Amino acid sequence: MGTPAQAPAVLPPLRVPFEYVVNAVVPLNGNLPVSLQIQQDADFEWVFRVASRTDPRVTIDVSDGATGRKYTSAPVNIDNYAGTAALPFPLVEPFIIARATAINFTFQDSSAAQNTVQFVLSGYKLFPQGNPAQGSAGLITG
Amino acid sequence: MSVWDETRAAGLAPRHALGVWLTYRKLATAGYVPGERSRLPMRHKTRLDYAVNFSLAARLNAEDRIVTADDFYLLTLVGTSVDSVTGLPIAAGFRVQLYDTWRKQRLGDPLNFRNYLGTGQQPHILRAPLRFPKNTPILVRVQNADTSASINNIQVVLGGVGE
Repeated sequence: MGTPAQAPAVLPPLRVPFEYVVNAVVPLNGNLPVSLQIQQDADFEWVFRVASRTDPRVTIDVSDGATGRKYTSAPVNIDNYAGTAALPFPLVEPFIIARATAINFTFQDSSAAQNTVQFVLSGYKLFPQGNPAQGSAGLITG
Repeated sequence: MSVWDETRAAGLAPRHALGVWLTYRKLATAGYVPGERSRLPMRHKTRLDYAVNFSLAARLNAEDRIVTADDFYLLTLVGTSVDSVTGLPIAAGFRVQLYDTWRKQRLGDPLNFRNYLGTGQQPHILRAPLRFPKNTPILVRVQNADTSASINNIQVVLGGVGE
């Protein structure tokens, strides 16, 4: 007879794969601020950074919209910040963003041509097991 | 095994390991990345990337520093070397050396950046996170290895987790 398994004190969240997408058409040699709103239904666990661009000469600057806290000390070349779908940049420790948070991005082009950038935050929505449908009916609990 | 609910360490709440699976390795093997014990101190902390930029003519060298605003766990090293006009990679690249002013130690001898810094697609992931206390200057020394008339735009990114 084995010892009966004990349920963990805190149930792990239900993870649903989700991609938040930031699209930016950056004017030639200009900059473009873009804000990303994390939806209210669930916290977001950010696991991979992925991006595509028409020219590598574009930088990205990221900050928290609520606190103003910077996630990059200075603008980072897009190719140093994100990978591709085949080879994404792994956040070794996944980063959890609270629901309803805004993340601010600023793209700066230096290619002397219009640059079409798509930046993808790839990860999981975290739904509490006790209330997996939170937010679906407009009700935010927990 | 289910990655959704498997408990891999006694006493710890289950955590899936997708964040540390490298897509270019076999999923059946652990990637060469920090283990769960090394990653525990970084839970619920903020992702932070420190970028250092240089624009150097042929054979010149330079030094710059970042100062950690909070405790900082260094996880990834990434860098690029591109022509300032064309934006294309410069084959010769640069040599790079990091200096830890808290431990008063060089983090290696100067070496070709391709042997030390990864890319956004395949970053150089440290096997164990390297912790720097708050207000620690980290020096980045580079030497342009290119001998042409081009200006070498160099960027070194120290990625990790802050408080």
